[in-house]
Amino acid sequence: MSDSNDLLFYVGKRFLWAVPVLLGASFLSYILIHLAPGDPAQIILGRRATQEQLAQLRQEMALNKPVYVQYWRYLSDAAVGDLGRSYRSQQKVATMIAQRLPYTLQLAVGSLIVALGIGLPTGIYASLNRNEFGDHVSRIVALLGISIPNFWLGLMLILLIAVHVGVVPIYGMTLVTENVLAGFLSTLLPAVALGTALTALIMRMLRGSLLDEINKGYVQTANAYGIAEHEIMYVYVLKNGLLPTITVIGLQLGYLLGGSVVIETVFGIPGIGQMTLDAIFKQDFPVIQGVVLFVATVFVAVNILVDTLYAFLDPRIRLGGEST
Amino acid sequence: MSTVTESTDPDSDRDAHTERDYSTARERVLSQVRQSPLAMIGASIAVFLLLLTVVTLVDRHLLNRTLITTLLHDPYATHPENRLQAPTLVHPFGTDEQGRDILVRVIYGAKTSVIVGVLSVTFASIVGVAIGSVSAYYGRIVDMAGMRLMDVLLSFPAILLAIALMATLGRGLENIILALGVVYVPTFARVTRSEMLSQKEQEYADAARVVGYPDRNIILKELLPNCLTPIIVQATFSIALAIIAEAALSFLGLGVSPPTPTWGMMLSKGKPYITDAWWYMLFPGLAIMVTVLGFNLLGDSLRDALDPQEQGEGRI
Repeated sequence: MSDSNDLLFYVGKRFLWAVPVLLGASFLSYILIHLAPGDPAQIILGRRATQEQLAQLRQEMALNKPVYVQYWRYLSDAAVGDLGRSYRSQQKVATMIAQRLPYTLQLAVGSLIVALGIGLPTGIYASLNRNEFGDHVSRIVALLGISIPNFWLGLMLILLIAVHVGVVPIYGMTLVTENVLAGFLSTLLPAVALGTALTALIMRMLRGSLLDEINKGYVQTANAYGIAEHEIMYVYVLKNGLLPTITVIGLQLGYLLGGSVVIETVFGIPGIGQMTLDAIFKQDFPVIQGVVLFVATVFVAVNILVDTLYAFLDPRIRLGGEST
Repeated sequence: MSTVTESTDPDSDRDAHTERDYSTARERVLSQVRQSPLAMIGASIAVFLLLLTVVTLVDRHLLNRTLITTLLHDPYATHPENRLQAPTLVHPFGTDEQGRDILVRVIYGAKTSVIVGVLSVTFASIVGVAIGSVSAYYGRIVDMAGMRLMDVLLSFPAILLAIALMATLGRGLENIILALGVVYVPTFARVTRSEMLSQKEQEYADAARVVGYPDRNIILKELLPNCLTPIIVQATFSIALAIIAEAALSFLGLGVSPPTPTWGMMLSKGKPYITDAWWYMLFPGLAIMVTVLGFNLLGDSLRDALDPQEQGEGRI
């Protein structure tokens, strides 16, 4: 089989695997909200609704039907992008997500840039200067980075920089599509707060996997052949050592999506995270359900993408090697 | 116990090394952990917090807060006249918006973090280890079903799954423990499964099967004890993650109900005063960070001592 066929086969297999997972995820998010206390008809109509009105609405919403019928209805609607309507505003959940998503994406992408921009160079630097001063400093910083709660870091940044230094806003977010500079400034602190844990994780992973690579036989062989050290490092070691780190980054993109709920609350960013939290306090179940299902789908898709990238970079994986 | 555990004589290095290889894994780990200052710091923080938790639990439920009130202040008594005072000798961490001493509330808040961290990880490890070992041991359809179930749980970002579970379960200590427990089950299932798969192929496992041991005994008494190393390392890191997650849930208003002080809730209550009262933001957050740092330091050192190859930290 040719190389590209292998890759296609691998990607196809990966897609098929995602189907049961997504079905499970949709069922879990459905059943979770189904079990939540509170009668949807009562929540929508409020306390003053009469028994007849309640009964009629329950009929319309098929609340009297068995759970699997309701779930099937939800699933077939969700498959065509209809996530139902908010109990409170009667707006379409899919529309609400689409309106809020740009803010969450801007935060997530900003955090990823912070994490990669700081994590990759420091990880490489630390492994090249093992046990020297810079390595020790970066390891301590990384350890602090995985230990600091992101929302507290956000609060401290507001306290230290936004309040005393100024320049960056303390609250809210401007989209870069509206105003590039204001967008950049308003994303800076939240992105640092959310991205720090990922930065630290990348530093730790990369240092570890590069050190593993440096100790492998082929590096000695390359040395013996007289290949320049920087060439060995950047051409061979880095390529192999980056692979496990890519997987970690892929898996942790879910952290950026989930963590945005907390960071959006700290910085008052009107993204899907804050929308979800509002929905929880207002018992607006279709919104919670829609966001949870949407995020799970995005997360699964990103993981397929990362696996594809991994398979593209490392032929051992698509040729049937066990990826653990 | 080995007779020669530490030797100062450089010539006996080889002997000491051989000796070490004959000692049990537990002795080896303990001696390595003792020699690393970072590990000792981590272990001290963890032990201190566990003791503090026990003492505050006794004080709260048996002594009706007399111990802490005698030594420092009452964590629940409000003094509106003292509201938002900057740190002084009487109130080293300052006071909150109801005039309560922040130091004693930070001390009292430790128990929620520690209880949630330890119990949710205990739940996650028991369920995860059960799923992981059964999956690995029986393989085929059982493995397929178990692991796809774990994939479903992993398809949600950790904190979002915890938030959704809290939305269903409602606030409360037991519910946070359950929610975070469920979130961390897949991590333990995966770690156990991969370890069990390699143990299953060992000769002693074949021997146990040939002799006719029942499956349950082979899993629990033969295989599982040899899989514990990475599970313990994972548990240490998971406690750190669970403590951060609990604080985040409390900060969002999805934690335990007031007036029980928790670090996350203190940060949430203090947020409106961020520009006037820096101490209100600083100390509860520092407490979370030091606690989490302690468990991470311990996890790092245990991992280095037990299993230098292992890289996993679970999901953040």
